Amino acid sequence: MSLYKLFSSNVEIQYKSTFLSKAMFFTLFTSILNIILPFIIAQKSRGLWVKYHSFYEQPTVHFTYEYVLIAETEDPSKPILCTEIGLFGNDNEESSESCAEMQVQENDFTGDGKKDELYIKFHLNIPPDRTVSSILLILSLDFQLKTICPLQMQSLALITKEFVIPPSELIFHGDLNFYQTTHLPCEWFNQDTKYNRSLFEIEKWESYMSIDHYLSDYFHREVTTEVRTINSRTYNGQTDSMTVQVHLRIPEMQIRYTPSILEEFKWAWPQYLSFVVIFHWFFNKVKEFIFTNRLLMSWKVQSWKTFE
Amino acid sequence: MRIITYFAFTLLSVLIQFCVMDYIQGKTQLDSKHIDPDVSTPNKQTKEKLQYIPDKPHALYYRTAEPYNVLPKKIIFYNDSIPDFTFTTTDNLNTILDVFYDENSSIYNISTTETFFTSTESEIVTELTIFEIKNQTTNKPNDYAKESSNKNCLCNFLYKVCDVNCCCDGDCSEEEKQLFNCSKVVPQNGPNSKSCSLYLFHNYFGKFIDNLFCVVQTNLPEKRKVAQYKPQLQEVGQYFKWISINIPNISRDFQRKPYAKGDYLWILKNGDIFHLDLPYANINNFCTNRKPIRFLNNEKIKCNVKLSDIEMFNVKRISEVTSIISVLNSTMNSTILNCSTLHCANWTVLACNEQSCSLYDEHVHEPKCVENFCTNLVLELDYIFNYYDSKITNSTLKFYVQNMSIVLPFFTQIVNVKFVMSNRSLDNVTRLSGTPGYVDGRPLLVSYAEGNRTDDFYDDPIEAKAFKSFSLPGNVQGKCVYNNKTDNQIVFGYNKRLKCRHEHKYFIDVTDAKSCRYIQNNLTKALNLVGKIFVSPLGNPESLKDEDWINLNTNTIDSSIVYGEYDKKTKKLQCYNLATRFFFQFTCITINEERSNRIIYASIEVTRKNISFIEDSVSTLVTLDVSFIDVTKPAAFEYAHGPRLNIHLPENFFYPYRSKASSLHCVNISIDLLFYLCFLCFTNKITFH
Repeated sequence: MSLYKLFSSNVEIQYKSTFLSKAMFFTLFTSILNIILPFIIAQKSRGLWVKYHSFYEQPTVHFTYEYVLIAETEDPSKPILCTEIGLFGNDNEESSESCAEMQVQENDFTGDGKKDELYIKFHLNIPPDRTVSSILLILSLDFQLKTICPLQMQSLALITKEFVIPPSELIFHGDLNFYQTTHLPCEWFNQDTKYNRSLFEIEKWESYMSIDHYLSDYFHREVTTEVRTINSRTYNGQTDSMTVQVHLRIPEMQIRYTPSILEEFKWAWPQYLSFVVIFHWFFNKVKEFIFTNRLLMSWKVQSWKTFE
Repeated sequence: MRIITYFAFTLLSVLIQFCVMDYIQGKTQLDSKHIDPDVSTPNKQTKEKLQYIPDKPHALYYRTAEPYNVLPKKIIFYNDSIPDFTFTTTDNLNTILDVFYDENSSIYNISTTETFFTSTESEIVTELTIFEIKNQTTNKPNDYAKESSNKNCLCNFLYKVCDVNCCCDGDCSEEEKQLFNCSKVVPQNGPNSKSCSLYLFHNYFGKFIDNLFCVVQTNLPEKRKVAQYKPQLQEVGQYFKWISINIPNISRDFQRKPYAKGDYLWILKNGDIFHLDLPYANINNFCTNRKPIRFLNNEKIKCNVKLSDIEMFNVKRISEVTSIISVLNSTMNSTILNCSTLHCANWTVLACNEQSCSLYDEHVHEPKCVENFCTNLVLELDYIFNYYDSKITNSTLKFYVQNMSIVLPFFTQIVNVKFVMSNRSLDNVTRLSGTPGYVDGRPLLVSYAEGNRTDDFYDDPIEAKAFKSFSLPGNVQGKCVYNNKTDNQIVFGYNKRLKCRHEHKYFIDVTDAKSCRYIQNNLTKALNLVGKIFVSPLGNPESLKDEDWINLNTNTIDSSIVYGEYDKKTKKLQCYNLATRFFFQFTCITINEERSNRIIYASIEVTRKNISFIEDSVSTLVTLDVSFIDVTKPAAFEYAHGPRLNIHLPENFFYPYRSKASSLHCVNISIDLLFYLCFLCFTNKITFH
C-alpha cells in the first residue's frame, strides 16, 4: 500500500545576533529594501496611484421649463422668438403670437423613476411673407447624479438646425451626453452643487443680455451636457406653420472622477503587495544563503538541540 | 474536522442569507419612496413600457418575466378608436406589477391575479417556496378565463360599446374578440417559459449558474406588505412647472439723487425727463432690442441694422433737443426740473473722419444718398461722458462719417459708450498699457525720440499720440488705409497677419529705374518705419532710462539694395529686392503672477520680392506679421525642506555601557534619512495648490 504526502511543515532555525552587528545591519538593510524597493518599482512602472476612475450611471434629468427657441427667417432682423425668459424680450407680442403651442413630456419607459426620454414639441405659426432658415433651440435641464458622485446642476441641451429649403417640420432624435473637461471632485455624502444655478439667472441680466454670452459662459464650465444627433428629419415645403419635435434620449453615461485617498490605497495596495511577496522570497533566499554559509556572524538556534 | 464542518455550515448560512436578502432587496426597491420632482408627466404608453420589461429572469431576483407573459393579455391591445392610451402616473405600473408578485397585497383584486396564472400557464409549473416548504405541480388550463368586469382594462374607453381591438373590454362579445385576433396578441418571443426548469432547459448552459436561483412564485410573510406612500401636496412647489421669468422690476422713474453706478443716464427735454438707451443684439447679431445706458458702464455694441434703423438718426435728434442732467447735492430737495436746479450738460457733437475730428456741421456732414451711394453715413459713434466734481460735465458724441455704397441690405454699426472720470478729453490723456508690465490687448508703446524718451512719452500727448503706439494699416476693400484708430495698432499678446494693397499716392515714373528705391521709401514711410524706433519694455515706461528702451532695428529695411530696370518692350518697371513683408517679432517674459509682461527683445525682419509695375497702377501687396513669443520658463514647484527633528535622547539610550558615545548624531541622521525616504516615496501624492 503506497503512502501519500498529506501535510508537511518546516523546522525553524533561528539566527540571533546583537543589536550592533553586521548581521543586524544586514537584516535591517534587507528589510528596508524589502519595503522600499517594491514601492519604487510599482511607482516607476506607472499606474500605482489611480488618478481617475469612472462609473456609469443614468442621470435623473428634468426639464426646468426654461427654454429659448429662435427660428431665424430670411429677414434675420425679424426672428421668431419663443421663450418665457424676459431677458430675451418675451414681451414681443408679434413674436409670441407665432409660438402657438409647446408640449413637454418626460417619459420613463423602464419604470425606475428616471426619465428615459424628453419629448419637446413646438408648433410655430410662420407669417406668410417669411420662411424659416434656421432653428436654435436651448433647453434648460436639471441634471442629477445620485450614486457615487452626487451632483446636481443646471445644464443646457442645445439643438441647431439650418434649412436650405423652407421647412414645415423637423423631427429630431438625439442623445443627451455628459461632457466633462476635468474629473469630478467626488466626495461621499457631499452633493456637488457648483453649477446648480439657473443659467438664465436674473442677476446676470445686467451684463449677460445676449444668448452668445450665455453660451460662452456655459462653454467655460467644467461639466456640461451636450446633444448628440442620432438622426434628424426635415419635411420641406413652405406652409403657414412649422412643427419642431425633439426626442432627447437620456442614456447611461460615463462619469470620470478623482478617487479618494482611500480608494487610491485600495488599488495601490495589491500592486505593492505583489512586489513585496517576490522581494520577500528573494531576500529570504539571500539571507538563507548568507546565514547558512556563515558569511555573517550569528548564533544559530535549533529547537531540537539544547545548549551544552 | 469540527472546524471544517463549522466553517462549511457558516458558509452555507451566509449563502442562504445572501439569497434571501438579495431577493428581499429586489422586492423592496419597488417600495422605496422616491421624491421625484417630475411633474407633468406623463403618461407612459403601455406598449413602450412592455418593450422594456426584460424577458429573462436573473439569478437571485424575482422572476420579472411573468408580467411579460401576463400583462399583454390585459393591456397590449390597440384601440383604434383612440390611438394611444396612457397611465395616469408612473406608479401605476409598479403597483400592478406588485399585485402580480405579491399575493399578500390587499389593495387589489387577488382573484384577478390568480386568473393570470391559471389562464396563462399552459405547462407544468414548479412553485418554489422560500418561507414554507412546498412543492406542487399544477396543470394549467389552455382556455382563457372570461372577463367578469371592465376593471383594469386600459383600452376600454367607450361606455357600453365594444372598443375596437380591445380584448379586455367586457362589452365585446366573443365573436368580436375573435375578429380582433385576441388569441394572437400574446408575444411568443423566446422560450415560452413558465417555470424555472423550463427556462433553464431552454437557455444555453453558459447561463446555468446565473439562472440557478430563479424564483417563480413565493409566499412572503404578512409583514412584508407593500406600502404605498401618500402623495404630499406640499411637495408640489418642488416640481418643475411652466414659468415666466421677467426682468426684475427696476424703477425706471427719475429719482432725484446723484448718480450711482448702474443708474440710468437722464436727459431733459422741454421739462420732461427720459433715459438714454442704445441698441443691442441679444438673439442674433441684429439690433433687435434696446437697453438703457447705465452710469459708469462702458459698452461696445456691435450689431447689424437696416439703413433706415441706423442709430445716428436717433442720436442726432436726441442731441439736438435734449441735454444730459445731473442731480446736485445742493439742489436735491428742489422739486423744479429744469437746468436751474439740475446740472445740464449740452451735447458736443463731433464729426470724425479717418484723420481728425471737427464740430458736426449740418450743412457739411449731413448724410445724403444718391442712387446706391451715400455720403457722410455714420456707422460708428461714441458716447463720451466726462464725470467730474460729482456731475456729468460734458457729453460728447463722436460720429465717424464715411461714404459708402448701400447696395447691401444690412450694415454693421458700432456704438461705444465711454465714461471718463476727468474734465479732460481722453485724447489729451497719455494712455499706458499696464503697470508695470504689459497687459494683453493693450497697445505697444513706442518712441521715435533720440533721447529722453520717457519724458518725451509723457509730454505733449496731443501731437505725438500717433507716435506713441505702432499703427498698422487697415484693409478697406483690399486697399491699405493708414489712420490712428486703435483697432489697427500693434497690441501686446495678439499675433496678427495683415495684408493689403499699398497704392502709391505720388506720381511715379515707371520709366525711371530709380523709381524702385522711391517706391520702397514711400512704403516704409507710410508704415512709419523710418528712423530709429524704440519699444518700451514695460507697459508703464515711467521709471525707464533711455538705455532700457529697446531699439527696433530698422536697418534690415535697407533700400540701398533695391534696384530696378525698365523694359521698354513690355513697358514694365521691374524692381528687385523690394521689401513687401515686414515681420515684427517681440520676445517677452512674464514678470509676475498677474500676467504682467516685459519685452526683452524686439526685431523686424523683411522679406524681399521682385515685382514689376506698369504705368497705370503702381501698387504693392504688403504683408505685416506680428508675433509675440513668451520665453518664460514654466514655473516649477519648490518643495519645502523637510522639518528637522531635533530629538534629544539620553546618551545611554543605545549604548548603556558606553561612557561617551556620540550617538545623537547617528540618531538624527537615521531619522532624517527615514523621513526623506518617506517624503520621496509620497512626493507624487502631495500636491500644492
